[in-house]
Parts: sequence; C-alpha cells; structure tokens
Amino acid sequence: MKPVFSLAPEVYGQMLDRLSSLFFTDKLGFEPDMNFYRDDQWLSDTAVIDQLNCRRGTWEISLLFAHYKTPMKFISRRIAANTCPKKAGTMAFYMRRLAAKDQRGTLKVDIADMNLTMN
Amino acid sequence: MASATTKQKILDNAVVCFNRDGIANVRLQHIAEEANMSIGNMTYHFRTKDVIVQAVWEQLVRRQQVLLNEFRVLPLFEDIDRLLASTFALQQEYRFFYLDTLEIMRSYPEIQTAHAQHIQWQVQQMELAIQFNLSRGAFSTEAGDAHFFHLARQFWMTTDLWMYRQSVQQHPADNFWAFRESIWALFIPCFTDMGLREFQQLNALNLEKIF
Amino acid sequence: MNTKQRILEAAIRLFNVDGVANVRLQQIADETGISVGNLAYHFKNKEAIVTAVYEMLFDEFSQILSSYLLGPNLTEFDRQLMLYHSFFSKYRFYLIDLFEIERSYPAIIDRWHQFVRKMLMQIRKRLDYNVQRGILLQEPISGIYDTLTNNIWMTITFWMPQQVLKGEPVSESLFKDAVWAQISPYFTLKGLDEFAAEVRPLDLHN
Repeated sequence: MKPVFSLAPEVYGQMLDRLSSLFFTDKLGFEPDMNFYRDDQWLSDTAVIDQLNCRRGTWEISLLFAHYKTPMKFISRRIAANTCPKKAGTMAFYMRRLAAKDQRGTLKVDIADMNLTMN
Repeated sequence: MASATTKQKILDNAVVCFNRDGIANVRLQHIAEEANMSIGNMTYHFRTKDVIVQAVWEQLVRRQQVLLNEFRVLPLFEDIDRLLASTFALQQEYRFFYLDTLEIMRSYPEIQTAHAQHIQWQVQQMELAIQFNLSRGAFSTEAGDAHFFHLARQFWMTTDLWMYRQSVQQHPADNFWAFRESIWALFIPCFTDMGLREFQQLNALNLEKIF
Repeated sequence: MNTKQRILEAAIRLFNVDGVANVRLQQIADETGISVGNLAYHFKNKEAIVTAVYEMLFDEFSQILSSYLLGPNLTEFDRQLMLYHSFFSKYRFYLIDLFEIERSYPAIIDRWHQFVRKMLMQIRKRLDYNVQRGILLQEPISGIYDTLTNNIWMTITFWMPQQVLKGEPVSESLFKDAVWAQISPYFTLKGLDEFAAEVRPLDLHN
C-alpha cells in the first residue's frame, strides 16, 4: 500500500524536536513536588459551611472549611457565582454537601478544642 | 611498443564505455567500435570482457598505489589535501567502478579477493600516516587507540563510498568541496591546537586557490 | 508462516546471493519448495514479487524509525543501531542492486529517498538533543554536525557491505563500535560517563 500521506521534511524535523523535548520534561518527579498534596490534605478532615455574598451584582458562593479538631485552622474559598439568589442558594447547598467529609453533620466540635483563653 | 599502446588504447576506450553505459551493459563489440578497431584485433590483446575488466581494475589499483606511495613519505595536512584531490579526480575518471563497486565485486569474485587485500594495504598506509601526525603533535592522543583504529578505516570507507552515497542521496557526485569537507570532518575532532592552526592555514590557502 | 511469506523470504535469500536482476522465478519456486505454477498463483510475475519484498523492507524500516519514540538517549540509540544492523543484514541486496532498482522500479527509489531523509533527520535531532543535555560538545566548527550526521548515516548504511568487500566480519558489536567511534570524539565528560555506564566501556574493540 502506497502511503497517501507524506510529511514535509521540515515538519518531520519539528516533530522530532518536540519528541526530544518531551524527554526533557517527562522525567520522574521528585519528592518535594508532592508537597502541595500533603500541605492541603487537612482539608479532607474539615467541617464545611457555605456562605453567600452579594458582590458586584452576583451572588458569590464561598465555602468555609474548618478543621474539626483545630477549628482555628480554617480557610474560606470562593467557589462559584450566580445572578439568581435562589439558584445560588441551591448551588451552595449541594456544593457544601459535596465538599464536606461528613454530609449528615454528625461530626462534633468540642469547645475544649477551641482552646480559647478567657483573659 | 605498438602492442603496449594499443593495449592502453583499448583499456582507455573500455573505461569510456563502462562509464557511459555501466559495466554490465558493455560488450566487446562496443569497446571495439569505440576504439575504432576490429574485434579480431582487440581479442588478440584481450580475449574476453573479463580479461579487460581485470586489466582496468589493475590499472586503477596501480594508480592508487602510486598516489599513496607519494603520500606516505611525509603525510602533512597539505599532503592529505593533495591525496584527497587526486583520489577524487581518479574516482571521477573511473566513475563506473565507484558507482557500482558492490555489484562488480559480486560478479567478479577474483577481483574481490584482490581488492580486499588492496583495501587492507590502504588502511595500513593510513594508519601509518595517522601515527606520524600523532607523533608530530598534529593529532591529540586523548582519543585513544581504538579511535584511530576506526579512523583509518572510516577514511577509506568514506572515500571509496563517496560517489555511491551521493547517488543514494540524490546529490551531485562531482562536488569536490563537499567530499573534502566530509573527510576532514573525520580528522577535525582529533586536532591539537597546532593541528587546528595548520588546518585553518590550509583552508585559507584553498580559498585563495578558488578565487 | 503462510506460502506467500515463505516465497518472499526465499526471494530475499536469493536476491542477497545473486542480485535482483539475476534471480529467476524458477529459482524462487525451488527455494520455496513449490512449483512455478503455485508461485504464479500467489504472484503474477517477478515484478509483483520484487514490489512485495520492498513493501516488507519499507515496513520494517518504518518500525525502526518509530523506535525513535523510545527516546533520543544514548541507550535507545544503541538499541536502534541493533535494529539497523539486523535490517541491513537481512536486506543486503538493496544497496548492491541500487542501480538495477533505479532503472526498473523508480517508485521504490522515491520511497527509499524519503526514508533516507527521515533517517538523516533523526540522527541530526539526536545530536541536537544530546548537545542540549550536555552529553555532546557544542559544535566545535560551524557545520560539522551536518557532516557528522552524514558520516554516521553512511556508516550505518554501508558498513556491512564494505566489511564483506574487505573480507572482514560483520558482527553487531563491530558495527556498533564503528558507529560510536564517529560520535565519541564529541562526548563531554558527562557524556563519557553516561556512555561508559549505560552503553558500554569505550575501548571494547579487540
């Protein structure tokens, strides 16, 4: 079978260049590369609540993640926005359910964990 | 005396025919016509085509031996250049042989055995020339013996196969400067500083020759 | 192996010994161990056999070219050399019969030239890649890597018939040595280390 498609030599050369550069970048990863995963792993042990803010005409949905053992460690992330408040509310509700480790909310936060000083 | 010149005339015309039509397609009749003599006359000197081919080959080898014998006396860089120029000219003259070496060797096994020995001799001469350049400080010994072993052989392989490879790649076979460049590229990585300077001087001289 | 395959393998063996032009259908049939009539059933004429043999040849050549995908490193190049060795060993007749083929089968020559261009391009890119990696020196004289590419290509393609011409052995390790000898003068220290560690110690020739 005669080949119906043929590559111009310059194009072939460029293709080989790309292949070669792949071998530059496609190397085995290093330990420190995975730090981003380790650093954010605490997020999987959090209680989540949703928050709606009206900003610039749209309702912004934010999720607030607080670690159930050390509630002082928390983070608020803006997830999505919607112009209709009701829709935003529904979206927030379902996003919270999705993000939370414990959807039914049986996780308890103990006041002792708060470690507040009453001075 | 007349016999010798007649013989030479036949061989020269044989080479013309071989170059034009390829060795396989040439018949005694063609050579006789080219030489303007009768077949009877020609076969008196050379009985068959095989005998002619053998004689032509011997002629080529003898000329190569002359070149190499001159060369090995004092193989400086400019002598290498001269060897390259004369070898190239010889190749152009005996074009049919260099374009069809492998086929000829297959068809004439006695020539092949003799030619193998000739190549070995050529390799030895080149090894001596390399040794000379090593001891005079033009080549650096850093590369190691194995490298120079291969270099001597690569020199002859590149030279002998030049026309063949140009035709396989569809490039013109009569470009001397490309030929020269290919061969010197084999030597360049072994240069010492002195060698490099000598080579650059040689190049400057050559440029003057062209213009 | 079916009959068609056996016929082609027999044809290749005969081409290698006598040359494409000199082999007759009767010989191919005998070498395969079948009758000429049976042969004619599979292949109409000699031209059909030659074309089919070249299809096999180009197919195998494509595969060798694809092995570039494995990587442009020294080890992979060594491996590709091994493939080239067995390829040129098997299809010895190609180079010897070059002019016969050119006369009678010009389409085959065109395809061959495409492959030669790709082969040259691959060698060039390997050199470039290894310069980037610090394995090979930067071009000491401008344009020398182009010439080196050509010389490497020539060694790969013509080393075997040349050895046969000289009456010398054609083993794979000698072949690889001849090719690496072209490249080794351009190794950096890092290149020498990698070559010694991953491919072979440099002074292997005996």
